[in-house]
Amino acid sequence: MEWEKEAPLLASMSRNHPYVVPENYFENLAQSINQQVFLAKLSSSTNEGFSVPNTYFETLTEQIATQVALQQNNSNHDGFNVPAGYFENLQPKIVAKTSQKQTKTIRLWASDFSKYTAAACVILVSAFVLFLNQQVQIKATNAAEFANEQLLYGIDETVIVEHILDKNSASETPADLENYILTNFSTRELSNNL
Amino acid sequence: MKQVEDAEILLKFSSEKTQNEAFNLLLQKYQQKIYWHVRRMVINHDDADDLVQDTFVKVWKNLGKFRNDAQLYTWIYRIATNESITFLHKKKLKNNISLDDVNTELAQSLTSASYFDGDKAQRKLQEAILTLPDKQRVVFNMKYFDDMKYDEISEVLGTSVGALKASFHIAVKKIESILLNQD
Repeated sequence: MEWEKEAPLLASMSRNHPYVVPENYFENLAQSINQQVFLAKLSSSTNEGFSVPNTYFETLTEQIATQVALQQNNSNHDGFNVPAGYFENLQPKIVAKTSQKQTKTIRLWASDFSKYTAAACVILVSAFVLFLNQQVQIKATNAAEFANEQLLYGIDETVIVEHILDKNSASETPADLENYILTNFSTRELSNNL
Repeated sequence: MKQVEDAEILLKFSSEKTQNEAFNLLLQKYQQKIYWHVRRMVINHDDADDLVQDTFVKVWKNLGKFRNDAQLYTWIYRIATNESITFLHKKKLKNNISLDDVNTELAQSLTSASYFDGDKAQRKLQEAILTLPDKQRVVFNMKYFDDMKYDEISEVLGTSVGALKASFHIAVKKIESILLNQD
């Protein structure tokens, strides 16, 4: 071999190792190892009955790393902070607010729409009442005129003439009578009645 | 005693009835090889004893999942190597010392160890080996003492054959230099 040429001293030395072992060591070594194997069997048998899902240990590291990352993210709160002692005082504050007797506020006008609707209704009703009132007055005036006219129509013409003549005989002239008739009666009435 | 083929051990281990028999066959076949492999790494017998037992407990636990795309003995060597290197790292952390200091400590325990029966030359060789970094030491031990092929060492350590050759070459030159200087 090449190395023997390069290291003649080493090549010349005995290749028997200088170590020795206790007497009957190898005779008992197999027994010792079998005892160790038996103990290993016993310790491994204590795990019997337990199993883990397939590829559990392959993904375990990744799962733990993910959980750690999530925990770190949660603890950072995305950079937001709260005043010192905020969370300690938050619960008492909420409890105090929820236990107070609250006065209930009812808005009269819930919205602008109902407000304007009511105003429109008031205006319409007022206008209707005014209109009705006006109509009643017109009707009453017409009825009075009509009654006067009917009264006039019910009286005989001769009576009216006599009455007028008697009333105006002393002081009133025919010209006055003519003026009276022309003033109080229309041309149409005179033409219809004469 | 005729050693059983790995395939037969694996076949027997696959049946619950013959599982213990298969494991005993495996122990008979590999326990000494693994012990010496570990012992050369950790030097101390008691530490090696603990690590060998741990190694075979792991073998027993995982043998059912062993796939035939690797050789059984390189798989066991790999477990033993990892156990040994992990042990040395823990020792470094526990004592708060560097790996170089761990190796110095190992060299001191070499001389004071109860179970050491080498001559002066062998002791010097072991002390020179302990100057190597852990992984290089593993490579050297597997090549020099166990006469393993580079392909097999590559399978155990998961390192390319080229890198292993280079590592072994450097280790040989360093040890030869130490041996020459000490003389």
